[in-house]
Amino acid sequence: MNKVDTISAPHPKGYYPPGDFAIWFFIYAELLAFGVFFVTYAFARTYNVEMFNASQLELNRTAGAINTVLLITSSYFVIRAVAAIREDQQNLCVKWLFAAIFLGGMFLVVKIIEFKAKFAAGISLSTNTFYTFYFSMTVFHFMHVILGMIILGAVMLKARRGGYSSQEHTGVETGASYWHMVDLVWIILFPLVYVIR
Amino acid sequence: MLLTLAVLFIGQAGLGGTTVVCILLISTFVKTQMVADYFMGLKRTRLIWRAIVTVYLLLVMSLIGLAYWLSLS
Amino acid sequence: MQYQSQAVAKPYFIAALGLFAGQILFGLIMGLQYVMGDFLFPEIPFNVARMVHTNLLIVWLLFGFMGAAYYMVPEESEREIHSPKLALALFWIFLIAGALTIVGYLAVPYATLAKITGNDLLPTMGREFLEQPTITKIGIVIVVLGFLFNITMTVLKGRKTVVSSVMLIGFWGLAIFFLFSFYNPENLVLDKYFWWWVVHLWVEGVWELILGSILAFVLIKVTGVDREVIEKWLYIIIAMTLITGIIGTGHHYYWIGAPEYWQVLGSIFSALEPIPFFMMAVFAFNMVNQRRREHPNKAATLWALGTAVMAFLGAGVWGFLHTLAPVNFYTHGSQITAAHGHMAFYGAYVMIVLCIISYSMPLMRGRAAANPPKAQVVEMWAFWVMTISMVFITLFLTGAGILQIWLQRMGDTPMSFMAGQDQIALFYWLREIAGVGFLIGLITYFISFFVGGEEQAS
Repeated sequence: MNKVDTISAPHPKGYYPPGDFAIWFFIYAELLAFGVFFVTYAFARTYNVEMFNASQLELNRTAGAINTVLLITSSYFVIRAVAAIREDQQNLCVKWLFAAIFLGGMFLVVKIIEFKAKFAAGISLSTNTFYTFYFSMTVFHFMHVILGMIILGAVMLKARRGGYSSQEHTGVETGASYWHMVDLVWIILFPLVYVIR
Repeated sequence: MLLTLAVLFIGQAGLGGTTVVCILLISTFVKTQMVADYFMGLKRTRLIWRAIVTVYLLLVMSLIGLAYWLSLS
Repeated sequence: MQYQSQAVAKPYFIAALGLFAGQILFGLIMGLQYVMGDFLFPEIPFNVARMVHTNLLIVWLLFGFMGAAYYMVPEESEREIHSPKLALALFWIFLIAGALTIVGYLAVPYATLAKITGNDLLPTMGREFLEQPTITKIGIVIVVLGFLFNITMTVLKGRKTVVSSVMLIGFWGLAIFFLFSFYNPENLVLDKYFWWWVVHLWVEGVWELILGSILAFVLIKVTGVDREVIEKWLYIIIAMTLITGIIGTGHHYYWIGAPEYWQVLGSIFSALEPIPFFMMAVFAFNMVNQRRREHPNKAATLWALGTAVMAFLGAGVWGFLHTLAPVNFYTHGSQITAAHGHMAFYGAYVMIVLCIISYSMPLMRGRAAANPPKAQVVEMWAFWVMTISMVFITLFLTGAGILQIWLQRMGDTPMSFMAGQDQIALFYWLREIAGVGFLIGLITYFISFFVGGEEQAS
């Protein structure tokens, strides 16, 4: 068996991370993108701490925390889905995936309510540097939640058609890994933008 | 989950200062590492894949910490 | 060659190479004008030479891309091109329109050209890279629409692959964003704002999709690696390209009067634009290392690897060099930009077109799978001479740029522009010498087409 096969086919456990190896390249690149954002935010803040702190207090932390709980729970559901498909329980896998996507949808709803409140208060990207970062990072993350939901949705549809089994479920793991990354990024983003001062 | 509630509490209490920043950063690090280890399943793979995330998290957290420390002093 | 209609790519490639030679000649003329201001004046003033140099580049790359599409799409879709006649007709329209435009640039003053071509009716002229008379622009739209119709029909009727889909998205994007060249607002800020929708979203957006699909196609052919593996890479590369490239447009909005938040958005997203290029380089080398066959066309493989590396260096590294707003505050519009432009265009787009030409030309000329080894050796020499010359052009321009910024923009008593230019003349001379090196490489490249033909029969 040559190297090419090991990348495209389910690989021996442990050598590569779960899921398709290509997605990990993407995940690491995405982490890098968000990392640059986080660090730039932190350093931009040093130039105007008062303004950042004042604007930060205007954010809706409860909504942020609810969203954190939603995403972590959703991630947990995806874990259940992967566990289910490993046992060949396709229906269960679909249900867990659906639950995870549903919570992702809830996240978006909460986020939209939050954005709406901000826009209603006349706050936008140009209000100040803090809000430039706030909107850029949360909207960028928002797009990732949507992308993650699309990926999970595609996986769910394939699972419903019986496209995965305990032998071959790389697709489920791939989608799951991406979704966890979206979760991970939010776990950093929430304290950084909403809380730490 | 508990950590998140604690974060919310700290946020609502409007606390600030070096200690709190440190606590928050460390708790974030622990949480994210847990996501990487158990959710993403990196604990069961070769060290390198997990190390990339750990190094990344440490780097991001410490740079954020540095920036906050600069603004406090 | 598996399909007869693939042969329509041949005239496109030949025209592309001819125009390429013209571009290099005008580059050399202009390079000399940097140090000998009155060279060929008043026949070819600097601004005209520059216009011809950049316009020829764009036009020949478009010829190359279209040729690549006509060659690739039949193989991907597993059927003949919808209408080879239309493809040939469009070729002649495009070539004649392009040639007439260049003649117009050279024969009459630009203002006269604008008057003759009725620029008053729909003013679109006078903007960098989009200098073409309005009728030429309309011609380009017609040619591209005809081309898109032809290619899209072929893809829709045949097998649908990731490679051809990505390519199609790239070309549709190219056509759509070009429409912004007809939008020419009075307000200078708005004008520049939308001008970048053509320029940036072409070269740092949709062209990269075309680049990615051509590279993927050639790699599938020369390495024999599974299509699925290569397509997966292509997916993540184009995803990263679009994520970083679209908002990365902001790195052109720093000082033109656009909102201030672009300094943050532009810096962050464009700082990440090297990632897809880095992935492309890793991808190309990985695939070649995992090759399952020894394809006889070594030259094409070399071009494929070369384009991945040089695109990363030129577009990625040299782009990153001056993309952050605090850095760009000093470097904006200096010779650093010229350095980046040269290596990025050569690495990303010139080399990929030469790569597909290198792969497909032997097949279209009826030479089994590849050129005879003798011809390939000459071609590889050409590769190295051109590439190394371009590296030196870039380095000398970078040196010129650093010195220029230092003299003209820093310190308490900065020099005036022309005084600064005099100080860096040495770098311009060195650049011109490297440019001559490039021309020698190009001539070598042309010679490689006529080497070893006699072995064909055996």
